[in-house]
Amino acid sequence: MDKQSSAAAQSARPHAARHLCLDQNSAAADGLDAVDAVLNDYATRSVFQDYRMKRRKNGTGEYNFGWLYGQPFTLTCDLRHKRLLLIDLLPGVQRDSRMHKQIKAFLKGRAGAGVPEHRRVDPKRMTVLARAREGLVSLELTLAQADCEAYALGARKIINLAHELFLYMNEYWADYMWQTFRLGME
Amino acid sequence: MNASDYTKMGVNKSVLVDELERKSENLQSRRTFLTASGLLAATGAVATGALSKAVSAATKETAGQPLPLPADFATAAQTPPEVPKLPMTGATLFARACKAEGLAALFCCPGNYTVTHAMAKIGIPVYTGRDERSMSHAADAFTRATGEVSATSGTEGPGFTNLISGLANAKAARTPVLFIASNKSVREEDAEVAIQLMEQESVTSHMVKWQKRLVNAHRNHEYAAYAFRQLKTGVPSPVHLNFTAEAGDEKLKKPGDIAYNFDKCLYRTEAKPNPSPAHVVKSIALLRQAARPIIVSSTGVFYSKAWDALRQFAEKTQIPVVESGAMRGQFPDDHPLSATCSPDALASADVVMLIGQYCMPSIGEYAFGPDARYIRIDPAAEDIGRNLPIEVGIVSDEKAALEVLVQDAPAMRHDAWIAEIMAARKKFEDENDAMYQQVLAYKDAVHPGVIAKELAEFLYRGNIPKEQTLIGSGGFGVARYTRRWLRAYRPAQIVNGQYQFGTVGADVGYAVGAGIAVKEGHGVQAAYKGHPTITIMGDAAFGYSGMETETLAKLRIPAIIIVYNNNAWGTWYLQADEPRVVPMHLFQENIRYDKMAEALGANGIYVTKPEEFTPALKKAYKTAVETSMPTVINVQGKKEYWQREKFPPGFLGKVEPGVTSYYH
Repeated sequence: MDKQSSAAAQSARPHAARHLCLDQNSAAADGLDAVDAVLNDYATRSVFQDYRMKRRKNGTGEYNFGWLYGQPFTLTCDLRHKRLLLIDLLPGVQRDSRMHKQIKAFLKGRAGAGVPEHRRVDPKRMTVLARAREGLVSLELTLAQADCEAYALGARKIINLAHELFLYMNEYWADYMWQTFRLGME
Repeated sequence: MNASDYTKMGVNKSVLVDELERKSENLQSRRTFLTASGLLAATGAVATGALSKAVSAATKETAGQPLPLPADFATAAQTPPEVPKLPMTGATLFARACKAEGLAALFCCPGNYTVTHAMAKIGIPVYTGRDERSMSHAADAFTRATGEVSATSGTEGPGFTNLISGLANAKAARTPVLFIASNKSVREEDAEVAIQLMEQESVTSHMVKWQKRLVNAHRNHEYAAYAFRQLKTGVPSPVHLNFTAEAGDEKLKKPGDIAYNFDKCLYRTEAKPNPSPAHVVKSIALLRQAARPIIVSSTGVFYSKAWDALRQFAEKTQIPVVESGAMRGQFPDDHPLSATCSPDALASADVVMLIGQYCMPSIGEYAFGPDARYIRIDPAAEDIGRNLPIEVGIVSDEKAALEVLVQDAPAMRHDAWIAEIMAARKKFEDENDAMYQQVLAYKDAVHPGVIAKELAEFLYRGNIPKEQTLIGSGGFGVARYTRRWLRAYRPAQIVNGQYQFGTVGADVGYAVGAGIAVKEGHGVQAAYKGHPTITIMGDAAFGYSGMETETLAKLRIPAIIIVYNNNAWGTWYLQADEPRVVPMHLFQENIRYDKMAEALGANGIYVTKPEEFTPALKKAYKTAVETSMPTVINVQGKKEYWQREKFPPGFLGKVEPGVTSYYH
């Protein structure tokens, strides 16, 4: 059954996320809800605009929202593969190009021991990839665990990683960002 | 007359007196090429006795010898200011009000004669240059460097339109500059009588805090009061006055002719808005919950002179501070709590307190992550909540709010967070060092990384007190490097270039305004009076305003101009694979801006190899100290240095807020 939820609707049940992990009988649905609760919190705080969730029959969830530079973002959550995917985050990046390699290196570095705990991608709990397909880079996060706490952490992590990736791109690939996101050249 | 009077006329007394004494016997030649080009003949008309000797001695190298100033400068400096008395013109009435308000400086070109002449006559320091646009940038930089209100002026029509870029940039930077333009008579409105008639208010309506067309001289004092109320209260921004001929020319004969003739202490208040206790409590509660709180100190901290309160609050609560804004240094970069050079740490912040952040970023423009929550302190309630969603908004003067917060906030500790900030700072410095080593390999021209690193070594780790030298941090591509190395250790040590609006070509104008601010020791520059200043820019920028090098020389400003000359607009490399487009972005190669400077009465040095840069800088600084004269260091770069594939790291981006920021 498809489900549409919006920030306004979600705000009517603000404590939902807190109780999700107590429900052990519907782990699959809870994973999607856990992601929904995290993203909805961003929407409630107006970090995201126009947030919507669709629950699909195959156990996946699709989450749409406007965020950085007014761009539309799509996140999917695949419970079968314990995978979160920020789809087509960066266009115009060829596989194994210099830029793609640097993006991969950046993401790999996020798991380094020198990264502060609150920012680090803990390899015991998740792995992150920059998947390039047909010139489009997606950010893929695979969880080690399937509980709702892991999904909530994964959702928060992938959003923060996307933010950090954009910071990195702005610092070292400013021209690409200007041209891709029409940010202006100055 | 004292030295101050001379300097207010834009003349260094010692240089002037020396010059006058030397004039008939010691004016040695400029360079041979000057003689050959006839430039000496053009300038020498003011010192005819010296001219023939100068020309005849043309073979001797005399770098640093200023061109002669007309004797009129000395005469002006020796002429006491007038005390305005009735009867007086409307222009004099207005000038009187400006002087009573302590208007620190007027930057202009000839034009708007009634007003600018009245200001000069009554002793407001007036500095003239070659282009109204540059003079408007000079006023912007003067105020950003000092915190004092300045003015700029243009004559009706084109003089006014020339001011527009400066006005727009000042508005974006929230600089309280008084923009004055004259206009023709009201009787000629819409009639195309003669020339230069133009309606002005619709042009500036979105660029100013307040504007007014003055048509009645009787009310000039009243409208000066309106203007200064706007300039000196609330969120600073420019004010535009359109001075019709009637308002300037009309004679006022008796006291009763002057409407609303109050003293400034009666027509405006020094009182500031204070924070509401409830919002202070909410803010402190949010900060106490935070693991990694951070303060963004921006433009408003400077204008409210809140740096001491900021430091006390940061130290008591152990909350790191990162700077943004139109000028930097209110929180010193070497303070243990400074996060200004820690770009990698910013995404960790969970509560962000924005103080005096007038140019508001939108989500994603600042490095703070999606989990960050915001507190904003701003004098304008109507602006709080714009762009970034906030959890607490404090409507207050920045200093007043910080003083309350110092009192009310408990001592806190954020040891792990501060350690993260420090580690990020070290990482940033290490990256810079590695970058410098990388670009040192490029020997066929000077890489901007060499300029950045070696300038920093000279300013902060050499013989000069690190807090001494004001920097005009401009440029486009070059700034992506220099900003990484430039540091600020006291209020307004860095004037942050084309902040927000991004006007190309403002920089030599900035050098004039900031140079006067330091030379005369205005406002927060008082402790650094007379010291050289340094302004960095690209060759595209110098192309717009290079003639103001003559203004720097004429005003005997000890300024060093570093021109990064890569033969191209900063935009060229984005078109590098478009053969029919590329030439649109290129200049002739290896233009000698240094020789241009020499021709204009300044000094010039041409640097073509990395190892020549530091010696050139030392020489220019020495010249500035010893002669109070400007130098243009023309640093020959190479446009291909922006291509990361050929010359890594290539063109750089930035992270905001902090050391590299200039958008907000």
